[in-house]
Amino acid sequence: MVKSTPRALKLENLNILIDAVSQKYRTYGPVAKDGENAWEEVKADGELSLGCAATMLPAKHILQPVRLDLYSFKSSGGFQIEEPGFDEKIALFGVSPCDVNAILALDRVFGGRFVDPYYWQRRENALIVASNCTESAEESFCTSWDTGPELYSDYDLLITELADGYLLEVGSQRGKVVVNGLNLPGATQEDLKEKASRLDAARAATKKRLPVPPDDLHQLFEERYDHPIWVPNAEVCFSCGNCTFSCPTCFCFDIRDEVKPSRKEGVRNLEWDSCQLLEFAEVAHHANFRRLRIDRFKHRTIHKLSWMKQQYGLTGCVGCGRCVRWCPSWPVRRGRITSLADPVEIIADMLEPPEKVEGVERPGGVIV
Amino acid sequence: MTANSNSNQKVKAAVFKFTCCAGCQFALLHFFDQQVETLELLDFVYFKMARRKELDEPYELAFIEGGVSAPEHIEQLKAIRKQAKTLVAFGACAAHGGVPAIKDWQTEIDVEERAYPDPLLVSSMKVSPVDEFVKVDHYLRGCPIDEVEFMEMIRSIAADKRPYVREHPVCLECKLKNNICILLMREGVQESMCLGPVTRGGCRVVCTSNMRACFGCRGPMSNPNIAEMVRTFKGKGFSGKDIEMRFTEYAGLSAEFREGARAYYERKAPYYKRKAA
Repeated sequence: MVKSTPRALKLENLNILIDAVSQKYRTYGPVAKDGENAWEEVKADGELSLGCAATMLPAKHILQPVRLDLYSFKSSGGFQIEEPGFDEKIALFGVSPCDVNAILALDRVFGGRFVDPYYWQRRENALIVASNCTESAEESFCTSWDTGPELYSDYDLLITELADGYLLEVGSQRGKVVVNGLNLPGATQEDLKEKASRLDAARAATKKRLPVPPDDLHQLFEERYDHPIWVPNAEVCFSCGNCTFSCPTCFCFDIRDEVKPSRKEGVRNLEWDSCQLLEFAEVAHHANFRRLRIDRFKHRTIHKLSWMKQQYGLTGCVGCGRCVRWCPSWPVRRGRITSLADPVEIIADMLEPPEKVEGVERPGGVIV
Repeated sequence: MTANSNSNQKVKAAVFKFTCCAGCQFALLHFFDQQVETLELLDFVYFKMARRKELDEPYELAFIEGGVSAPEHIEQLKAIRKQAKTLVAFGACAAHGGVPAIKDWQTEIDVEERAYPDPLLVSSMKVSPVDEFVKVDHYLRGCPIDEVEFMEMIRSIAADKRPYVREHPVCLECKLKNNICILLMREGVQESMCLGPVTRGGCRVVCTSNMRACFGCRGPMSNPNIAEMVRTFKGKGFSGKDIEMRFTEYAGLSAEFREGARAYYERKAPYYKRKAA
């Protein structure tokens, strides 16, 4: 992506920009739904609900739909494959900084050693209109990873809410094309100062922090892989997959063929999958690499917090707080009710000396 | 059970009803209207709700609807098993006993006295799922059965392959549909007693999409964490009776939900403690 060359503009209201974007792109944004925010198609400003409150599902389900027909196949006089293709242009309007960082991580996953064409047919032409967070959500800890509340680069357009309108920064040629015809006034020095002070306030309001620096996490999990605290944690885990589906950097999917009874034709489709489900790591003869709940719980935690960084060079946790919010299990830790999936709490668990954990057997001795 | 496209032979199917409300059969009638493919793949030689014809020809595929609740049912069931190449438990009652099995948790004579003038007139017994007596090849769960799953089932049977039935929890489908979480959001009210995290999905979350908690009609998922479900309900302030009733409502005869119904009384919820620093 183009490194940002900020060209700051002043925007009176979002409608002007939404209109301009939706003329060229199919536009999606966070919309209020049942008291929460969800990513849906948008047309006007009134429907948009920007702010730090994370949406239920992250925007990844627009770049990679939860269910997708990859291609249909037929064997009548030779084998034929027909791909539906995708020629629409997508715009993601109001992506928070943590989610932009998560999309960059997905880019590495789907564009690294193996390139996923189905992801890139949507991603390649996608316009990213990011939105800096001027307030902080209770569950978020983005400042610990430096994935928010401010976005520094990798956007096409970036909006920041000000007292009297919005500051609009252009980060790429693609973004420039969208705003070119709008004749927007340039931003003043005061606007830029206001942006800085608002983001500083948001930074200060983000109270939740990782107890250790992110760089130390790999060593921590390596050393304490057999920490006894994994056992009581896994004991209260539902293995329902809520943490992984709502995670903006989770990318696992399942592929299967739907064959017609004639066995001559069918469709190959994709569906999201989760490492928390028992069947996920099952292979032939019902062998399973992660049959125990504790193994699945460990896998998700360590993959997000340490292995993904080793594998792809970008953090697998961006601190959005969705897993904290949507985990249905709320165990008592350190005298407080906490969310089981909360990375901050899990790391705090790991920091406790192993000999202090009472009443649990070593993993391997007990089937959880 | 092979019906290749070349032979263009339909699978001969029969629908049998035991103890249930016949709602799944009714759903099947509805599919005739919605899914023409049903009639292209199956030839119903016996289906009381749809046609007057008596059972007078052999069949390969048997759909068993409802649980077993009378001694004569067992003989009939065994005879069907002998005839059918493939036997499908059709609906929540056949798979887990369903709503009729609520009476299994009470003394038999109390239930009979409430319904009949003289209990000696009936030879009723505890309701059991079909697989207590005969081998079941496939299960179509839910109250009523799901259209998509049913189509996948009969397509697979016609193509002689194993049907693709995921064993994921209801939570998965709720998340993929961008629904809000009823268990978390609707605190303290009866409607928040959602069994989603332990119940098998595949129902396309009709209840939770309409802000109703999951009743667990499809029975337990693979490897459900029942003890944690009980602890969660308890933490939300529900009584032991509430928890027992929720677990026994549709699939109380499954080993896992039976555990949930009893867990409240039998052992403490698995809170864990740490030594003071």
